[in-house]
Amino acid sequence: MSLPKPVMRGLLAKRLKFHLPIAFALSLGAAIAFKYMVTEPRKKAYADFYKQYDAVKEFNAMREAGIFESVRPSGE
Amino acid sequence: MLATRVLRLVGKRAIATSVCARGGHGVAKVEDYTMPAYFDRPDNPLPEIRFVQSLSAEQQSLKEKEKGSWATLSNEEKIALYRISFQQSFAEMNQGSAEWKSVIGGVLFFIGFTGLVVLWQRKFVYGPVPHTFDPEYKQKELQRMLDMRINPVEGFSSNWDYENKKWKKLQHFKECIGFIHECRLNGGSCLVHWAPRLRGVGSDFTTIARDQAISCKCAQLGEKTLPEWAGPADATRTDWSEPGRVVESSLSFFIHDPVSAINPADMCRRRLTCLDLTV
Repeated sequence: MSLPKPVMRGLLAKRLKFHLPIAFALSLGAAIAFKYMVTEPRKKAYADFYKQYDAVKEFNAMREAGIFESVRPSGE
Repeated sequence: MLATRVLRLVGKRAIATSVCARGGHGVAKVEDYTMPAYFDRPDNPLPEIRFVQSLSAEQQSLKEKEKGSWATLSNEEKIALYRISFQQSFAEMNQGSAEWKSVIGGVLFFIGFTGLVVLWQRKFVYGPVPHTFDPEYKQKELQRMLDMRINPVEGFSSNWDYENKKWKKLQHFKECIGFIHECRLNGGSCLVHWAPRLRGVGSDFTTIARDQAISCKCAQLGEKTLPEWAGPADATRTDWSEPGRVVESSLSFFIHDPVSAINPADMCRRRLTCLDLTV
């Protein structure tokens, strides 16, 4: 029987050489995707919300709805 | 090991003597599982013992030949020697089987059985849900959440239109209703699937879409009233009125009824107009 001698060394190195670049690329891709699909829209949503936000108006609306305990609706 | 050594030293006749010497308790029987065992494992390639323990005459002569130069062994003899020492080759022990099908089948079967058990539990074991699940309570809860402006930027309250006191229309609401409308006009059916969040947004769409199906049916029966879209009351109607209904309302529903002979296009157009969608 004259089989060729199988590869005995460098198996981990060979595997890493193949899989590490893929792992890094996928992780980076995931991070970039998350940044531009989640965090940037969220930051924009918050910025837009607060551009037109009138805190006093909102406070009065909430007060009239009666949810506060320290200040009751103006009628009472 | 100790037992065999003792036997060799004192001979078989002297066993009684050795028994007496040990206080009359006797020698413990050597169990099979305590002796070195043979097993085929890819991570442990060389077991402690040979596979074939008791060699036939032919095998013994082969073993003697093995003590000489290996160049004189033929290929068949080398294979025979291998099979004396090992039961399965690596190729044989690593080959897959069809067992995974039975495993998956068994797993799914028992998951299904567990589902039956859970259903039985719901019916016979659990008591009533807390009063906080009542529709009226839920309505008040919803209203309070809106009053408190829960998650006004991206979440709950962001879907409520505070000016007009109704839920904001969905992004692609018009397209969806238009699509359902077209399907039904062409005599077909439309499978509507949506994933509800317990925030009233999905229920908005479902209620309207369902009402459209129902109202078209009502139209066939001559009823003219439209369901009113009034706000929180309707939001609670579909979603969490009863706890079990959350499951029901999250399933797809099938809008399928034969196109009315009256005037389906006009009917649906009137519905859409009332819902403010035909701009």
